[in-house]
Amino acid sequence: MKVNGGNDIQAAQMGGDVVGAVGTATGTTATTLTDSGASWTVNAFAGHVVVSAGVYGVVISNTSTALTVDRWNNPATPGGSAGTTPGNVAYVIMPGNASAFFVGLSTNTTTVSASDADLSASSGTEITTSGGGLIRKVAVYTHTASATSYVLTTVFTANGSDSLPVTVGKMGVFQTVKGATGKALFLTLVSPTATLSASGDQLTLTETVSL
Amino acid sequence: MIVELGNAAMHEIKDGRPVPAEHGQPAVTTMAIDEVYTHEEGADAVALLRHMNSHQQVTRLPGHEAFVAVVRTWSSVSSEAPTWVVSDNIDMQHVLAAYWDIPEGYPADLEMTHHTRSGPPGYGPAPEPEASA
Repeated sequence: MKVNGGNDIQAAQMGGDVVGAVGTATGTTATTLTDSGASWTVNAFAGHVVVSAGVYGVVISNTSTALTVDRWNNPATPGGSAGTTPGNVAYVIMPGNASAFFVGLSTNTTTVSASDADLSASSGTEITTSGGGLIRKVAVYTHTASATSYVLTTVFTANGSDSLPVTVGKMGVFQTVKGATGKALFLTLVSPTATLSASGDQLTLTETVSL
Repeated sequence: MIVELGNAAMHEIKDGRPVPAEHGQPAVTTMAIDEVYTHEEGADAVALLRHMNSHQQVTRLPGHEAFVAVVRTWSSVSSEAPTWVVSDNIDMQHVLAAYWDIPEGYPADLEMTHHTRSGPPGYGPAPEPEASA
């Protein structure tokens, strides 16, 4: 189900949220970019993509002079390891909004409400086990030319770091890879629920999105 | 990794049910797969077929996440097996061709017969003429 916050994301993705920005960073960390000379509207760039030195971040929030991003991503493998933090060099905040192709899981089975913001809604908790195979993951994107839909498919493989058995009850689609940050575009019950019992067990989830 | 598949029976999900595409023409289905999805080369397509047929919800192919994703997704976009396969990962192309028993490579008249990234049949660039002797 597309939740209320997802409407905001989708509108900005498809409509364009047309104003971006350019400048030169005066400070960066693994999750921030500061431009002391900027005077941005607070949170105007949430969901936008900021590009610098061959990497990009998805903006979680912003103050008048600083962006907080999920992390710095390598465009060739956004689901892989974090990219190198850019230095104090030129940056571009792109118009529009980041694509939503990361999928997270929860054991929660409470019916999704449109007002839910993420997988923590209704006393749920997103699975964020460090090193585990069931943490938020980039999806496979599938589209057939001319079709009025696309499909996000995610294959999760449990490993030795996961607390098993675990029964997956809900999935969420997000713009960011880093677990438990950023609001969801879609939240969907996994039906029927799926139980992973041992390392190597795999769960494949498909989310078909109508356009 | 990119996988492209010929889709001669594309369907779409409407009101929770698959319905044939209105135009009824073949189309190219494209899958974009991040390299975090495992792909061990040299897999036995027959063994993969047996495993997929005997494990409906939870599979155990940790070295073949990309393959599992492609196969599990296909039923969401088509009512029949694909008609051809092309991938920038040649080993994946071979495995999928063997799995579905389909040819590898684009049809010679792709842009004239399929909906592609370029548009409907006949809209994209014509194939380059073959060199004459």
